[in-house]
Amino acid sequence: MSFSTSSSDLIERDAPAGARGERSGSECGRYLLVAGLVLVLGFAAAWIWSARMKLAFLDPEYAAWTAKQQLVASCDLGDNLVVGDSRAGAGFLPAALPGSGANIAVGGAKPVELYFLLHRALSCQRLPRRILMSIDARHFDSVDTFWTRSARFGTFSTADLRLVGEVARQTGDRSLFAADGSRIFPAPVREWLYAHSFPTLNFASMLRAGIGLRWWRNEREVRLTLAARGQHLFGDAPGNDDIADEGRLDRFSILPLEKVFFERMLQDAQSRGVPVYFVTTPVNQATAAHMSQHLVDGFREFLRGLQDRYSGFHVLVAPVPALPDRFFGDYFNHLNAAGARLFTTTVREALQQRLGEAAAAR
Amino acid sequence: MLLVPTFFTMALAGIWHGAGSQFLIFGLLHAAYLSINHAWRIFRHKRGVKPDPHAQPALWAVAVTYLSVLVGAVFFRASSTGSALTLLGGMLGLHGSGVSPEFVAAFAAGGQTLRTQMLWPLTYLAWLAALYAIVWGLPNTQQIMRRTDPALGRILPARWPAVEWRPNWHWAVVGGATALVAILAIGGTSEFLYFQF
Repeated sequence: MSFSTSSSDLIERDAPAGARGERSGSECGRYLLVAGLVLVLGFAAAWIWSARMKLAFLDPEYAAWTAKQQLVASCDLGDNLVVGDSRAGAGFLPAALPGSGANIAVGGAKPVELYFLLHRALSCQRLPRRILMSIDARHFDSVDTFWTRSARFGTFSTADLRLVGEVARQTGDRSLFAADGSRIFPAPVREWLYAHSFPTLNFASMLRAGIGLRWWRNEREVRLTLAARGQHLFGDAPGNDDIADEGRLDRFSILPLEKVFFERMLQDAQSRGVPVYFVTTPVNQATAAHMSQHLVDGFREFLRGLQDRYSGFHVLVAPVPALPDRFFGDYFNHLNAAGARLFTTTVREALQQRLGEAAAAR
Repeated sequence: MLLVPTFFTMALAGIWHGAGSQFLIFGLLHAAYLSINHAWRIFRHKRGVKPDPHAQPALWAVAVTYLSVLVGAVFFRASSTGSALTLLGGMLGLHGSGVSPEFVAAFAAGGQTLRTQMLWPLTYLAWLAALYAIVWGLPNTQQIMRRTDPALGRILPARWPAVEWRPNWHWAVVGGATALVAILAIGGTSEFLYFQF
């Protein structure tokens, strides 16, 4: 294509005024056409890449998330289904629990995310025998990474996000919709754009990933996470004595919207006859030393109230256990490999004892 | 005739940016720079030196201009005149070299520890080198759009004529691609990482 000689100006000055104007208009039109085509085709390509090739540019947590979605999609859940936040994702080794299992706990997960994940898992024909649920105190009162990770990863369909919006309206809890990620798009199209991976959401990750250079590492992470039945470590330092967020919370509180989705989870599980065992993941000694008693008491009281109302809900490990700092791998109090082994052993023993007591009672 | 309006205007422009003595100094510094520039042009004119419109500026002239603006920018960005002076003192090395004892120990030990300690300083230096290469080596927007007379006065031609904008398909592709990147960069989300890379 050529619509201008290489050295010409926009307007050919030797031509008559009329011809000059026509030529100039025609050149401008073709210039804008080519620029517009590049823009439109490039945007379409970026959107396809953003929606279909996330493994090529998102960080390794997306890879772990993908592996967990594959476990759910194939209904390969086993006897023990672990749902929860990132501490649960790192701390529960399904292979070390009694029977088979899968760990579909995801980073930053709060009840609102877990409801949709668990709902899909409980749609399977072969249901797990029990659910091990673990959410730390902070995630009941936080918007954390709802938009920036959960929604961006593809946790929600448009209908899911509209349901979240509906519950927010009913409860008057607009906290999720006041968060940064929510304000990127206007309300009428926000849910659809998130659910369809609008490319502006992922452009920063694409740049950081050199468009697609994370593919190989993420592929490996998917295989490793599947091999570990969904368990994956975050930080794996040989110890950490940072004070986690619990050390800075004065009391336990729960956002109204999170409370609705937490109870919906319990109702879902109960309606399918699957018991839920709540397990509080441990914090390091540094955090435990700074934790408010009001926080611990409030968390316990909240769980006790649910236990009274839902016959299938049991608190297996009450808030908030502590382990030595050497069992933690990072600032977020994720357990390291040694910590995960120790913690899962503790959970297994508690679970076996509880199951034994239940069998004896029958 | 020149000094009073220049200083008055630039002082106003300085305090327009904020209520603080650092903004007034920022304006007055630029007034001084402009006055020196005018004086220099008058001096050269009286000496009968005729400017060559196609001549590239002397290296020392570019360096003096850059450093002058850099000093002004310190006042512009600082929270107070005191912190600006502290920062300028640091830039002149009056507060020591900034090399930590850990770095000195790592330098003495060598090996992996040194490589770890050197990683961030070298990364910063590489960024600085790359950004200076862009600032000094690539044409600015006025040079790129020179053929369309984007500004009053003289615009020095870019080193490579190919980087001057023309209404041809090459530039249409560049324009479309630039618009694409600009749109994609609107309202994106940065990465929050639980993972330690």
